[in-house]
Amino acid sequence: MLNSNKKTLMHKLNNEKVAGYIFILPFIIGFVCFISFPMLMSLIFSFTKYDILTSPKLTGLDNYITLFTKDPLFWKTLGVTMFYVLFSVPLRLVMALLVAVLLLKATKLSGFYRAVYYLPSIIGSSVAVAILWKRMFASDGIINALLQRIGIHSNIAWLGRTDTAIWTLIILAVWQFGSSMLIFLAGLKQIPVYLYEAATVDGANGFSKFFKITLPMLTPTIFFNLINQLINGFMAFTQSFIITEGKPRNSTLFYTVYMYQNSFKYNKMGYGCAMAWCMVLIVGSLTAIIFMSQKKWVYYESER
Amino acid sequence: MRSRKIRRTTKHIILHIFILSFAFVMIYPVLWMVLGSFKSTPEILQSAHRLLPESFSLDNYITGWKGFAGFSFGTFFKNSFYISITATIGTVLSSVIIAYGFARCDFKFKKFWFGCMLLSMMLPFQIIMIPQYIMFNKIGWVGTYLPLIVPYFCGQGFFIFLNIQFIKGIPRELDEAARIDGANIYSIFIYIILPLIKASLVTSAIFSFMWRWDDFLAAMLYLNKPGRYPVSLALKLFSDPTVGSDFGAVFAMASLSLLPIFIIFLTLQKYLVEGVAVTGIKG
Amino acid sequence: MKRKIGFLLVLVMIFCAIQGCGSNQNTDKESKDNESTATQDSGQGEENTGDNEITLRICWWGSQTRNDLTQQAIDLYMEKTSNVVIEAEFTDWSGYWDKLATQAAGGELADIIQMDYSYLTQYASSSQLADLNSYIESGMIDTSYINDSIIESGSVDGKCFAVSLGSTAPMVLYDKATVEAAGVEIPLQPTMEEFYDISQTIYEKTGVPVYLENGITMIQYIARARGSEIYGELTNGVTDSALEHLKWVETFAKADFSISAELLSEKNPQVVESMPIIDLSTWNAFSFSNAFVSIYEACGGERELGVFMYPTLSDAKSQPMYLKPTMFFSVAETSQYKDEAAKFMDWFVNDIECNQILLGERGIPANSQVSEAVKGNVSEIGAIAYDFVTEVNKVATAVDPPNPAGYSEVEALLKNLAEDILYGNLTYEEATEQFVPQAQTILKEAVE
Repeated sequence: MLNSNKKTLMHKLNNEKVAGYIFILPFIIGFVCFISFPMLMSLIFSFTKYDILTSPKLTGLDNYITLFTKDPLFWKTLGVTMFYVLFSVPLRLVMALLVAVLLLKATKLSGFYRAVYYLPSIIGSSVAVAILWKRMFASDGIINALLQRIGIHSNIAWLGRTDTAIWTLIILAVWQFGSSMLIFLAGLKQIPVYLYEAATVDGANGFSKFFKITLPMLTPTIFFNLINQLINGFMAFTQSFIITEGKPRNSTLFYTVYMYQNSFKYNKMGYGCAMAWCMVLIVGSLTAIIFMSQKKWVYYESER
Repeated sequence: MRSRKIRRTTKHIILHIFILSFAFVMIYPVLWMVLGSFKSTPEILQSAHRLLPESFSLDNYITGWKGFAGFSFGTFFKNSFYISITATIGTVLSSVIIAYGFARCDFKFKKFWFGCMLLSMMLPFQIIMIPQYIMFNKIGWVGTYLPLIVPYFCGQGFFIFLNIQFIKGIPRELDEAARIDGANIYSIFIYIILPLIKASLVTSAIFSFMWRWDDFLAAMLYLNKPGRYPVSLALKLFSDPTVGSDFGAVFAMASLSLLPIFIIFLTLQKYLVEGVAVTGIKG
Repeated sequence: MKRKIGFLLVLVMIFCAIQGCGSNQNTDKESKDNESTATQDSGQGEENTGDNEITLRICWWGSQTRNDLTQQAIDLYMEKTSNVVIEAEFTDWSGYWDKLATQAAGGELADIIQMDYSYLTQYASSSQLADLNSYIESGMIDTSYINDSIIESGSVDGKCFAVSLGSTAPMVLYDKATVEAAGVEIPLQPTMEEFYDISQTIYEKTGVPVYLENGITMIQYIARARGSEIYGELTNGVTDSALEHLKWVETFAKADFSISAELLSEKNPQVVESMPIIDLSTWNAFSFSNAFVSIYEACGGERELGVFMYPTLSDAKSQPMYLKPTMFFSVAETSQYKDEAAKFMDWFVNDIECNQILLGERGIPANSQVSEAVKGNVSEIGAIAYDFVTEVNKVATAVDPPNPAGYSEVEALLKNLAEDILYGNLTYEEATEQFVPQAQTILKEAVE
């Protein structure tokens, strides 16, 4: 009697439908306890006027209407952020992939190189980098000095011009490709060696191995990095905040920085929350589109 | 024969030079900061184009280490390690467990929960900051390390997603083979999947540690006593732009704070380097 | 492999148990208190033991210098009073206001809060700060040696919510070598026209450009010179001072002896470390007297810097110079120990021994006796700032009331429009036309 009860219990637990929930239980708990409440609150705040120090007052859709019709900075910062994402994300991914492939071999030197290429990601949001970046791109900074060595006479104030300032931030983002590189490395390591061996036997060269084996097998990782970098790109904050503070003329004012200013500097928390949810909608839609495109280009070994 | 070898060696050398010089460019800012820690603060600001200091001095390290208000950086480092390690253990373990659920199981409302997970990645922290604080305050967690550690035991979107991708890369034949041998869903997870995604686990650990190490926002909000501050927060305090700051000391302590991550990365590298020879199918 | 995982799982469970996941908060807190007590120097015992012992929380922003000095002062106070334990919390400037707002939302403000002029109105009018009038009247906060105007500067609607910790005055610094090389003499308070001419001469003789402060401080100053008050004007949609100020911004922007807009943007004059005067991108710097020492040191500590007052209008109706509080201490309305907090504040501001430790790091002390006593110990460089403030004190008129709600947004708006003028995208009339109505709306909506 006991045995059959035990068996049915085990059978139930072994069922995908139940086991699935057991496995994602920690997430559900965390989401419900730590995330859903603040999320809901921020959604409610977005329909209020809330200056943090006094209670919120319901104002309905006012914040959203102001955002879309009366706030030029909303569109400006959205544009700046999109521009930033448009250039920094592909460049980062390409660099990360190239370097990961180059440094694939397990030699001592390549281990050291990998650490070196990864370092920038670690100090990326530190004050030291902010100072250094400002110095490097100063009119009397290293970048100009180097350009002069090659013969280009340049004393451009890279950070002071509206057309170049954003590029200093894009370069900063691309410089930190190390984190994506690391993920590509992990992904590359997962590609079964026998695939390459079989290809060599068939007479394939380096190029075709890369395009016919490496890339397709890497698509799950590329997919991950793409989504991730996209989200991170839109949420970029620190670089703009400490290096340029949005100057000059708001050409480097990221959406999240403007949102932060509204929430904490101008004490328009409700407005800031409305901005946040707009961002969620935009990024969410983009993510959804990319997810739906998965079937067309992402190859999962387990879903052949 | 010989010319081919020469060509190959030349190709190697050129490649190496290229990688080396590019590496130098990549690492220049870090070098600048580390070498700057040996310069005096005014020298840092005024001779930003020069890498090497005029004279090496350890002053910044000595001043910097003293920290402030009676707490040395030794305390701050200890705190950082405590927070980062516990949170990382929590993150990696919980994320991989959750990832397995999403990657290998099909269940009701799966898409909904998956969407929630993605949503959690898209929310800017500043927006949920205040409601979260109010919540933690009500349950008495403010002033402790709890808000900085416990949420991570419930997984983090980035790592869940990462592990999902890797688990999906493992062929289902392995699962089925194990099932034939009598394994259930849980043992497949422990004995088949986990060993095969080592690279992703290591990557998760590195990232998680680094992010917890660098995070100062949560520490700033929830920790009141300077004696509990981690290095990241202490560094931020060191460099308040409204008052002239001692950048020499900042650089010195920042350089020091780079060390743990760098060392972890170097040592964990070998787990990244092991290849995956999927012999399971054949054997 | 099996064993490793099992071991890890057990570790996880142990950690979870330690964290307690919500149960047994107090033992958790206490054990952590003991951890940090071991490393703290201030010798605190456990909280709330003994009959009379109370714990005050105090928070401030600042650099590590201020943190060290203030902690020393606090230690001194705790030595002198047997029943008060003070727990200090401090962060840097930018993190401070985020944290304060968050704490206020959660009803968790510290007992004694360092407060700034630009946030005072906001916190006072949302009832976060305690009214100190009763303490001042009873003498618990002794103001006999503190100028009335200083108390007024911490008051909103006649109620004092904050006690000033130090005074500062607007101050223009200049590089003495450059100015001497150009053979000019700068009066202690030039007019704008004189400032314009002097800048031109300096540029012709030495090639070093000038910059004019174009933000909220300057427009406030110009309004004062015209006998007016900027926020009053903006709330009522009056454009006169804005027009005057932006006209000067454009005049200087068009002059060839001004630093280029791009360079000025790069050399952000708002932050001490990057000011253009440091590498002589300009020969001057617009700042405040309490930043003098920092700027001096940022310039390398060897260049001689001179000082003069912000330039006034040639047809000025009143003296625009003023003494402003650098920062205040306030008491939180939610504090349970307001009396003790007030006593500490009284000691902090009036006690000579305390201020010998602080040495005017927060500005010239508000108490005139204390200020005299401390001056003797201040460095040679610091003395320059002291003397300047003494000069200003002779002519200064009362400071403007604390900034109204919505002030930061107005400040940001002005910065953007001034930038547009500097880059040649707007004329000063166009800028004024955009500035005043928008500022008016911002100020109106902030109080609704």
